[in-house]
Parts: sequence; structure tokens; C-alpha cells
Amino acid sequence: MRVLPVLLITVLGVAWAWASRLTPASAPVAAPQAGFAAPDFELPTLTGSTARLSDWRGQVVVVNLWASWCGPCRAEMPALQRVAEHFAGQGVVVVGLNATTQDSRANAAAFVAEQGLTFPIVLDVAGTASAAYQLRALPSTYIVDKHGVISAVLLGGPLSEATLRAKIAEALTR
Amino acid sequence: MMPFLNLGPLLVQLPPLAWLAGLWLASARAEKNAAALGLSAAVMQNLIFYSLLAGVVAARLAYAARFAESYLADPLSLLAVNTYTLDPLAGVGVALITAWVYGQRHGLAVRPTLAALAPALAVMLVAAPLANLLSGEAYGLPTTLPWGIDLWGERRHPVQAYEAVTALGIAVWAWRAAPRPDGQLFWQVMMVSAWARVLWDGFRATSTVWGEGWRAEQLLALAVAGLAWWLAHRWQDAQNNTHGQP
Repeated sequence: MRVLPVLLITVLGVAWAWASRLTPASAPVAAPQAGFAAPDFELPTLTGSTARLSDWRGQVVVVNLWASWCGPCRAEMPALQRVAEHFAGQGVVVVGLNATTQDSRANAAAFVAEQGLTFPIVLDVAGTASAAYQLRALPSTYIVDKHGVISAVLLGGPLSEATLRAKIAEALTR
Repeated sequence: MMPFLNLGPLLVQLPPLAWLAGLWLASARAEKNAAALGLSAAVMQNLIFYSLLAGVVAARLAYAARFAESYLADPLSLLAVNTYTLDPLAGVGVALITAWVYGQRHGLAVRPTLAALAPALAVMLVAAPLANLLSGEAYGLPTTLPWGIDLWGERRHPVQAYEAVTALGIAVWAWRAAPRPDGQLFWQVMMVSAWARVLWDGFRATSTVWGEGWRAEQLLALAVAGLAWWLAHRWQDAQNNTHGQP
């Protein structure tokens, strides 16, 4: 290809790159995607209280959507428990968000007792959180950084402990 | 966006499937072109296979090295089947080096090999935006245009679709081109694809920003296009000199 057309296209390319420079975004909107603010939720816990995602602002939050009948959820829960224990007191909290519209409080409670889970469990009784996170697959895990922005979306499972620890470590540096 | 397909108890992740389909098509075409250019199709197939294998292993190990403590405590995680824990730069680098070494050891001449791989490259450049369209990644800037898509809370440019359609046009052109041993088609595919990237990245919301809003991917694509043109030009000059042409 001759020099002149290539040069012209290159100049046009540089001009377009200049014209299409990215301006700084305003406050990130909420969406279940990396780079967006994590959709907030306020849900009842298994212990009878209420928990809000934004209450944990300032910490890295691992939001894990699960159901008691879900095989991969069951397989990865021990890893989530170990991660919760490993990062205890280090500004990281694991939150188990039970998709109660596809499950039941009783089954969720039995599952938690069976697995020996000690991290907070919230119940999405009305399906509002599942809708906000566009739940398509179980399990789904969202790593939310200290600023409330999603740093990683991990769909499907079971997730390994090393994967979770690596993604949490990435979020801690943000 | 359609990241999953529910088939009864089975949950199929579609973005990796798009990549695999692209890889299968690309590999098949590369082998066919290799045979047409007098190269061994079997060697071409192995070159693609070993390069990919080395690339994936390197990508995983490079990622794991950044979090060595975690992976040493759970070494089986090195075998986890996911795309979240891969270092793409390390993977691509090692794949290219492996391809080079394998090609050299099996006597594959560079130019006809690149000629055979040109349509394969074009096909993979279709798979990438298709996978992004399925996963909702690499999404576009907000827009009010009627063909915008609702994604992540706003109406956005379907930049993945823009890229896929353009890449498909390039792939059709490269696929239909008669294989020539001079390797020019490879650089042409790379150059045109890079220009397309410069164009469509201007509508993307997820670009890496350098300095005062400059999109890194656009600047790199301009550099790649320039390099591809220069290499094509040099090879053409060298070929003309060999055949005594001006």
C-alpha cells in the first residue's frame, strides 16, 4: 500500500484518537459489572437482624450469591469460609447472599449449620438483590472494593481458595 | 448480553465457547492454507496447538506468581478452569515465542507460515468482540442513538457489534483471498484490523486512559498498524529486489 494513503489514514487516526479522548466519568452508576458501583441491598440476616451492603463501605466485600440446592455453591463454601477466616480483621468481609426466592429460609439455615459458616448470611426474600445483580447463574461472586466499586465478577463455580484470595488481594490494592 | 445458556442441569458459558469456535475455524483454515502453500498441515496444526498450550500455561503461571502465597497454599488452583486468573500479556508473549521456536525447529519458512495464518488471525479477531458481546464486557459509551443497546444501566453504543461486523468483513476478505507465499496478507489483515480498532475504540467506555484522556488501545493500535505497513513494505521491497523488479 502506498505511503500517502497510509499517512493520511494515520493522521486521521491520530485526529480521531484526540477527538475521542475519554473524559473522567462522574460517580459510577450501580451495575453488576466490574468498574461500576455495587448495587446496594438491605436484607434480613439469618440471625434476624438487617444488613446493608453499604454498611461495609471501607472494607473489601465478597458478595457470594448461592442456594442450598446448588452443587457448585456447596463445593466452594469451604473455600469461602477459609477465606473469611484468613482475612478476619484485615478489612475484608465475606457475605453470603442466599437467593431465597429459589430456596427457603429453612434450607438456607440448615445449609449454613451443616457447612459451619460463620460469615454474615443475608436472605434475598423478595428477589430484589438477585434482580439488581441480574442473577443468571449460581454461584455468582462479586468482589467489591473499599470504595463500593466492583473489582471482579466471578460467575459460576466452584471457586478455589487461591482464586478468591488473589481477587481479594487485587481489590485491597485499589 | 447472554453469558450463559441453561441446558437443563448444565450451565454453558458462552463467551469461552465463542473463543473455542473461533479457534476451531481458525485452525482448520490455517491447516488448509498451509497445505495449499506447500507446508505440512500437521506441523501447522501442532504449531497452533503447542503455542496455545504454552500460552495458557504461561498466562496461569504468570498470574499465580503475582499471588504466590495463595497458590502455594492451594496449588491445585493452578488447574482451575476459568479465565479470571490468567495474565494475557504473558500468555500472548509465550505463545508467540513458542510458535517461533516450533516453526524454526520444523523448518517452517516465516512468510508462507504467516500467509497460512492470516485468515486464522482474522477469524480470531471476530471471536474476541463476539465473546465481549456475549459477556457484556468492553462495553460502549452511553448514547441516544436508536441502535443503542441497554447495558449496565444505560443505553450504550453496541461497540462490540461494531467491531464484530467489521472483523467479519475483514475475515471474509482474508478467507477468500488465494493463499500467496509472500506473507503480505498477514500484515494487511493486521493493519486493517488495527485501523478498525482505532475507529471503534473511540466509542468504548472501558479504554485504558493515558495522560489527558488518551486511549491506550487506540495509540497502540496506531503503532501496530504502522509497524504492519512498514513490515509489509519492507518485505515487498525485498521480494522485488530478489526478482529484479523496481
